[in-house]
Amino acid sequence: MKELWHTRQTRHLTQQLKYLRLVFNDHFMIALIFLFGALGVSYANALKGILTPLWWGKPILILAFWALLQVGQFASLIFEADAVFLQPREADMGDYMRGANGYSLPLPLVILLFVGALGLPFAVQGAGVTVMQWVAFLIVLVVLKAADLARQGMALFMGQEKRAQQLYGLTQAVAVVSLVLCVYGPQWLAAAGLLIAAGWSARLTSQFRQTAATQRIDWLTAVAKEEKRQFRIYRFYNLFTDVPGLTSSAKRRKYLDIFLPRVSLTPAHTFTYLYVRGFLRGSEYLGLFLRLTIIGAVALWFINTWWIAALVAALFIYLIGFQLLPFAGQYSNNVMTFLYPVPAASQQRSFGRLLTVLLVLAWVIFAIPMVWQLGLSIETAAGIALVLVIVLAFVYLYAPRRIAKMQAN
Amino acid sequence: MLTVDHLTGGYAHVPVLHDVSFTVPDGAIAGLIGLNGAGKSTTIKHIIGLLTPTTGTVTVNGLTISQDATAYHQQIAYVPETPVLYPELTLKEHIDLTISAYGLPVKETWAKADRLLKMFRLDNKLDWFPSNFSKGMRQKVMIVTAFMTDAKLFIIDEPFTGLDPLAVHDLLTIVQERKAAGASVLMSTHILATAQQYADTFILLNNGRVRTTGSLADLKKEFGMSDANLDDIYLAMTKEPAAS
Repeated sequence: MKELWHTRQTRHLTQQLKYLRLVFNDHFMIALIFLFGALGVSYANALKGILTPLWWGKPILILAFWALLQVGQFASLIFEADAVFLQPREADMGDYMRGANGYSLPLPLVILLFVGALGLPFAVQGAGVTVMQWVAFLIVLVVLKAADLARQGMALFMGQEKRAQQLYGLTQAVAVVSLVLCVYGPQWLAAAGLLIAAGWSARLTSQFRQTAATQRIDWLTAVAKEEKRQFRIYRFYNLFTDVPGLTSSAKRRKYLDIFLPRVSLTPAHTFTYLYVRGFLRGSEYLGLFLRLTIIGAVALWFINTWWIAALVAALFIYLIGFQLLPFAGQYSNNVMTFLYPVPAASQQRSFGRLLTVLLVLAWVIFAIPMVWQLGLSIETAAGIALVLVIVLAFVYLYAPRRIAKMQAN
Repeated sequence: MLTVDHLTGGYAHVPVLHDVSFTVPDGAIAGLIGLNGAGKSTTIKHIIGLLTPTTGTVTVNGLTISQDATAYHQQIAYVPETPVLYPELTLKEHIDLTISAYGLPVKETWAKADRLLKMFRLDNKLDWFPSNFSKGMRQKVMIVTAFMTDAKLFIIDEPFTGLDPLAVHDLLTIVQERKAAGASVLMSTHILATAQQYADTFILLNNGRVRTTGSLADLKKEFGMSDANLDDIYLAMTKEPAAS
């Protein structure tokens, strides 16, 4: 069973690597570097403005890192077929699940420590936390994550779900108490926080081991949870590339029907008919468009240099457009789409039109905070015009090539 | 009329079909019969153009897909073995989309569709997402969207599995209507009793080759089994040593 876990883990990791290479492609990396650069500069500037610790510094740190603690799920890598094929080896599944528990920890741990390191300057400067206290704070987070994963693992066994739910509430309470002890009061209290977290974690881990050794796996729950977890991951990958076999669910959203264009039912408009409905009712692209547009507009509200505003707006236009591109191939696995007597060029035109409408809409929305913050001037107009040029270049020059490349793969 | 002429093909480097030839004349129903893995689905994929032949041609009323893919597809309606639907479209919108894609007259086609929807008891589900329907009902949606077009060639892959007996009966009725109107119908199936009853000719596939074609009378003569039914002939074929 340990062996089975190891082969699964290797195969899973290879596949993740394959997709991550596609996610972190060169264009995306450039956009990320710019974004991190801009964020880094404003972070540094904001810190300079803080002279005495803020009253809300500690609460916000506790809240933010408590939220971050919820990131990271128990990865069991169980398949639906396991419920049938592994049934005879059920008694040995404990080994397998212990392997899964060990595998689930590193990723959330790295995220916690990375964000923790980023948070250090603010913790010291903005919240008046000592470095020692911050180190204890991060150790508590890591220890509690281990406890949380053991609890999640326990929930995959027969009759444990209810207990795991009760333990969830307790774990959150322990988390808040020990995190508070780490940053408030004298330094030695941090040790108390550490002790509480470690004790709780040890208890849950031993309970998990005992459960794994004695209880039967609750296949239905375990399969459903793992499928949901993997679906989330692959939905993310699907933003960058085509993940085979990923079907997304749709919602009717009747209130959005007012945005449906009244096109005539002719072959030239077939794909417009399909794409617009797919966009408005599908689970991913509409949300993505709204999220990025709102974040971009909010970010522009804080920028008062016209060329930086133009740069940020252009960056968001690129990000939105780039994330929408895989939608072009949304229906390419559908044999009926292939059979329609509609020329391929008409499909590309339909997607191009949708992309143009969406990016121009984002451009108009971005122009509002730009005018608001920068005032009406030649520079503002130049900045807004520059963003429009980016929109047009993206739609007419970049998108067709990128789509052709994606579909060739 | 569908003509498959010396078709050899399959997936990238795995040849499945070897020198397959048969025709389905206008106004005829042909049954495509063979074991699992004999090449039925591969043959259909070549006909609808999902696969490209290594050698040989597929023509529908004198037209190949490489000459004009749009005009070629205009002539074909296809009911796949597993229903393929758009998760974001309602049943009504599936029909509208089909009208749009095939450039059909809206009013007349909706009249045809309404009749089919009533027949398959789907007429009260127009505003639902059919991808959430049961397998049999999704299959019915595929049948409705295929048979509301004025295609000249209907390709139906395993139509009877998952349909209730009433729906099987209704499907056979509309297939015969289309046959009477002069269309060609190619139907792959394992339900031999039904095939024997409704098909005019049969294409027996074995190991990617056409074992024989013809009417039931032709098959009886070929196999030397004068009072046999399609079941017996089929079993006899599977017991023959594989030709290589």
